[in-house]
Amino acid sequence: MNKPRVLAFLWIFIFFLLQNGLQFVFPDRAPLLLLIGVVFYGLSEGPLFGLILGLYAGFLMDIFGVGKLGLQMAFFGSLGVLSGYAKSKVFSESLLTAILFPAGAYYLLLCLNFTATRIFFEEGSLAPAVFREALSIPALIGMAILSPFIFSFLHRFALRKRS
Amino acid sequence: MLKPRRVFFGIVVLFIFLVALPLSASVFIRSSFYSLVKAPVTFSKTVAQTAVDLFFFARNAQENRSLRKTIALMRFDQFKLEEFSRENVRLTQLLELRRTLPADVRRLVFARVIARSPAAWSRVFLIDKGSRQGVKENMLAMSDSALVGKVVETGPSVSKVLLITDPNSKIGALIQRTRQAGILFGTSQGECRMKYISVDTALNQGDLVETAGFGGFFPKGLIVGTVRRAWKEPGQIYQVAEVSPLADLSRLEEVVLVE
Repeated sequence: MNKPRVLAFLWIFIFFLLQNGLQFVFPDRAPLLLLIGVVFYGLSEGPLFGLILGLYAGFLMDIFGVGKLGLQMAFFGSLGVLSGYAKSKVFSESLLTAILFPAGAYYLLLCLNFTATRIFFEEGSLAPAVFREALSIPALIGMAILSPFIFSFLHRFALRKRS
Repeated sequence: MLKPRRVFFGIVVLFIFLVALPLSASVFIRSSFYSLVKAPVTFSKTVAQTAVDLFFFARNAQENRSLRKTIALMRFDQFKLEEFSRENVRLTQLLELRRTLPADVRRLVFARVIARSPAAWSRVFLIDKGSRQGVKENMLAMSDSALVGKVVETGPSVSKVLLITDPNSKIGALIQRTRQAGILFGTSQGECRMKYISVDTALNQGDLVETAGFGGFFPKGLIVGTVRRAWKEPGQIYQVAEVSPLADLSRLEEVVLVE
């Protein structure tokens, strides 16, 4: 594995720490930096690396979970793979990609988590309530605003130079 | 080239493996990892907290002035409370009632919050005390003299506390005024609700909710919050109450663990 890819794990861990710090500043409203990182590396490096990094980020998220390990790993891994498959279809450096992909992935992640919560812990209808609850406009706007900056930062400092 | 089918198969196999892991193994993996991340996570929290303190300097100064006034008022209230307390002791002796609340609480552990769950759907935080300091699973966490959650996992020097607003949280509670029992649970939207309350009970806004302490599993009589509104679920024979926690769950910094 080349150096930028090894560094990607370090970046994801730094995002994890930043995320923890942000949670104290904006409780329950902080954008999910880990997901932006996973989507970025998926779009830049392809599905396999997106999957591996997604599993790693999911594991970090699972550390804060309750019960068995694996749910967030599966969700983040899947989103990493999906971003990776989109690599050949979109231009990862475009502003539109940087805005839409992380916000879309976050919405999907919320839907998956709310569905899991409904299935395992709560009683109640699934669709369309889950899709409606997951449509958290402030959180999605937060992701959409922050992700272009993180994409730009990672493009500049975290990716290998292509000749 | 990686084929989509293989990737999907790989995820499924990994997921099945993790789901098949016993819960104790999952807890062991997590607790081992807490010790590893404790130092960097504490550092990130300290940096963020310092930034917040500097940014909100003016607001904190204002709050400080306001708190000084509150303390002065509270001193006056304290004298009154002491009088009530003495009167309560006398009346309790007269009625030969058992004092439940202080007798139930056997031990206190003070801890700092070092990390919060990054996920919007999960309300969990890590504290800087673990089994070495005597923290055990199912100890209740309190802040501002009100219940905020319970310990769900413990590592050697770090423990995990599940907030009462997390969907995984379920605690026996009762309405203080009516003594009607129910189950207090969290929702995915971060609300705290109490269900299985009899429909015959008339609930008022502001009714205090406290821990039930059934079976001696949790201490009895710890205040949780107040009833915000209540309604009957369609097709059910009980009513549900939305409870506003007394403690500010979004700004927890220190907690007291009670056993």
